[in-house]
Amino acid sequence: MGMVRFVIRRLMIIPPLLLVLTFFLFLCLNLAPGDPARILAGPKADENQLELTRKAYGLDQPIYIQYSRWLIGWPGPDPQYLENIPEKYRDYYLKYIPNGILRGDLGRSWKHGSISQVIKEKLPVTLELTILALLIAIGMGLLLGIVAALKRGTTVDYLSTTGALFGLSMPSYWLGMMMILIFAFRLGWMPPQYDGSFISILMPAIALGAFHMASLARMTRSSMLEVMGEDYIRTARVKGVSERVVISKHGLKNALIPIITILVLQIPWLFGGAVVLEKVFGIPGMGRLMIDSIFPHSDPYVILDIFLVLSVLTVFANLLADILYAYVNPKIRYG
Amino acid sequence: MPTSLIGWARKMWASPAARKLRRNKLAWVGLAIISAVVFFAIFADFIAPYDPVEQMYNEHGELVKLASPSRQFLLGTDDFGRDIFSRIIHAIGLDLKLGLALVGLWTVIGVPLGLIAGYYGGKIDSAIMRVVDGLYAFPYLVFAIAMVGILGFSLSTIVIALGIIGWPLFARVVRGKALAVKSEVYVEASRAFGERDRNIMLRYVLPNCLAPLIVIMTLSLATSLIIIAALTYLIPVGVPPHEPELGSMLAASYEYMRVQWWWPTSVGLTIVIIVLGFNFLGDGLRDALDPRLRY
Repeated sequence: MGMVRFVIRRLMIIPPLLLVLTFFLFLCLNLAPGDPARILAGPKADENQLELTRKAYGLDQPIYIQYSRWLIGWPGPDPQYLENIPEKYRDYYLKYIPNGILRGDLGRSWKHGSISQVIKEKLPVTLELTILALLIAIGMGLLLGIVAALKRGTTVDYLSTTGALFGLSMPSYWLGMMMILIFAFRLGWMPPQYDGSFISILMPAIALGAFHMASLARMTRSSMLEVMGEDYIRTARVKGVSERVVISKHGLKNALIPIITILVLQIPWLFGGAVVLEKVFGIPGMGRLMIDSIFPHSDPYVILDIFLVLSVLTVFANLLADILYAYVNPKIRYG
Repeated sequence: MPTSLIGWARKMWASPAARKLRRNKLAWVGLAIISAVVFFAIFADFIAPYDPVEQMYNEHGELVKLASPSRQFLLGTDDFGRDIFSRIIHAIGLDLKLGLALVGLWTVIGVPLGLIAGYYGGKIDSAIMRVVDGLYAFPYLVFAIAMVGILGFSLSTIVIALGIIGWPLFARVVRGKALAVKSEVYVEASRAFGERDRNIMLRYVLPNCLAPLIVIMTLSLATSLIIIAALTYLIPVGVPPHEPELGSMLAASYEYMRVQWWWPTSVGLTIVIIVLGFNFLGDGLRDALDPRLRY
């Protein structure tokens, strides 16, 4: 019971924060150099379309009206104005009126048409990349950390701790470039760019996961060392429990608590890293969509929507980690 | 004053934390790297063999584009015929300045909020900490990219975008320390004497937060260098074309890396070495000052 309330309380802050941050980005749009109507309608729009865009998005109105139109689709367009629009422009006008993201309509952009549609297309690749990276990071990080802790002071320990420090200091995008150089260009083992196959997403996933793997390995090592010195481990050993069970059941289970804490802190970084690696490996996901929406002409509503979608996903991932945390640590106080 | 300063330094040098730090070899390596980096940044004009924006021409008056490393150009030249080695040396200073500005921004926002939350406690504390917890759950880099993408690219926008929501760690660490210090006898006593809260926070609580703050500032400087270069890598137009900057140089090298492999390799290694330096020193400082600090 306590956990549900704890999770709900943690979730309560998310909607207001999202409102503040998206509103802030809205302000930025109005502060940006250039005519917002021109930015929203694209470089090819004529004078008529600019005027219609201004009306559709409510750019002639105060910023909170524009924001509310984007968020909930209210207040809608002025019906009197609609009647005065020439027939051939009416569709253009109606199409571009934001219907409100809370109603499930992410709006339209001059570059991509329906934003919901294009995000639906791009999201799976990004999810594949981030989930694979996370799995690699958790699997390898735990393994390296446990081995280093059990073989404390040996060459294996030394190598994995130094390796982890390097992993923490390496920008993922540079690691990705180096992997392309070595494994694709020199050795020819891997495709240099993403081509839709599973093997081509391996390199970006490893590059993305490397940092998280390193920090998980460090955390696993130190918390395993701490736990393995406890009395109950000695008791279990004296009782004649096999070493494997001691490590997995008594050691790791207790060491998991700080490990998950670190994991929760890192989940938000995954999407940011994915955006960068999608550029390095030419992966057609959310990150590429985001960069394409910045260059060469800004497409602000797409940028805003991507931020929104990735934020909501991160929050859900955090929620999952919270639940996992509560499962591993029944003693947690939900204060 | 000078004698007391020397006395203070001597006392610091002999303290248990300093002794622990002095025995840490990696911390020394880190310190050496950082000193070298700062030296390069300050004396870039004297160390770099060429002007970082000068385009090189050979004796026939042709642009020396994409030259291989040679005695003349240690790391070759880039696509505009500029000496890569000189550009790297000059870029270090700019990246360091940006990193310092970012960490400064995090400190300026995070520390007062953490102090207030920890010292006053109660409703203010839970309000601030909820925002902090919430911000932890946001894809921070994506927000920064979004803001830079909407506002337009400039180095100051990048720093501000990263600074606005990146400070929760600072608030959390300071708050934890302030919470522990506020019930100490000397704080209670000065409160009983009627000292103003602001004075107590600045004179008694803040100094106690310095040790963990120094640790997270050093370690954050490492991360800030990586994420700043990530943004300039993604949006290289943000950097004025004549200004050498590590992230945008890495982006520029992308197209040519198949042949000119030394270009991305050397630029990236420069970032890695600097970041390693701060991580080494930060780790050592943490072990010496505040071993239980989790980062």
